[in-house]
Amino acid sequence: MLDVPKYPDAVVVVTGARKGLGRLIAGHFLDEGARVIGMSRGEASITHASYEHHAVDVGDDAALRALFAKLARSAGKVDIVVNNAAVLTSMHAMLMPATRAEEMVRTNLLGGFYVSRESAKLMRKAKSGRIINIGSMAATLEPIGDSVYAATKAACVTLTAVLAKEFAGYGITVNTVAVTALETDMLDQLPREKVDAVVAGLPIPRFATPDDVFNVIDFFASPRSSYITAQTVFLGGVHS
Amino acid sequence: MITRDVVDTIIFRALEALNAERDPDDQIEMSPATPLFGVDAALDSLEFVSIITDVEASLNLDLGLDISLADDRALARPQSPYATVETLRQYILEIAPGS
Repeated sequence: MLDVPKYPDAVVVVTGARKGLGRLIAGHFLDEGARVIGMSRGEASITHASYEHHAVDVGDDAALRALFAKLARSAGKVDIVVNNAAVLTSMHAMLMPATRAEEMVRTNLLGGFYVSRESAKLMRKAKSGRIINIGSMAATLEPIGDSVYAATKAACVTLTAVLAKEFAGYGITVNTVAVTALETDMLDQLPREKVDAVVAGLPIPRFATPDDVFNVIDFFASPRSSYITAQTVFLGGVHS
Repeated sequence: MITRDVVDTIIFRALEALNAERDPDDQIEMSPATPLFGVDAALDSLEFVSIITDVEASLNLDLGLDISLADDRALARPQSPYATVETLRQYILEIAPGS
């Protein structure tokens, strides 16, 4: 039996698409037939006929507005958004520079908000849309050294809940998949022994795989999930 | 060049889109005095969001103008630019480049 692509006509925005989990998610949607619009501060790392990349800082409201105004004229629609862009500085609170703390709030929290806001304006006309935020186990595990990062990811859960209410009338769902540790470049910024200890303490004590994440993304993105919104699914048995 | 007539057309087109989804006996009046925001508003909160985003989108798609109608300038005004169709039109003409 032939595999039928899941997203043959979909336009999908993936932020933080240049590396790590975002690059994997963009690749997943491309494999499933979608047209993917990737965003990141750096240049593209994906070459594919159905991929276009925009170098933009999602925390820069003006730049993002200008980009979405351009996308309204070119792509004309956005069906699915994956708010993946995030930065992590892991450091004791007493040592954390303000610049790093502010960067995490701007990218991890406000970036997701700005992208959701602009995407929802395009989704509204179709009375359908899927906004999927990438959360983190840090929101509930509250690891030492990750005060601001964990707070931004906890805020992501609240943002999901409120946006879900505000956008429900337009047929747009907003959900979060809160991931556990994956083998990505972001993980390299943390002491390996600290990560291993966290993973060993999970109800399912292993690293997440990309397919674990795709599974939940596909569930949230499915047309059958129009009645699923304001939800956060934690991987690996983590719970709030 | 953006003119009063062009802006009126954009705003009324957005109102017509809302009317298309309303009952025939519950239509929004097509008038410069139609209240959009406030206690006397003819629109509910979702319709108000729709009007503002529809007008922004039309200014972008029809005229190539990237204008935010809900930025600090608008929110800081003692008199809301969203009060009526007329005040919204005046505000757009005021902030649009080339008007």
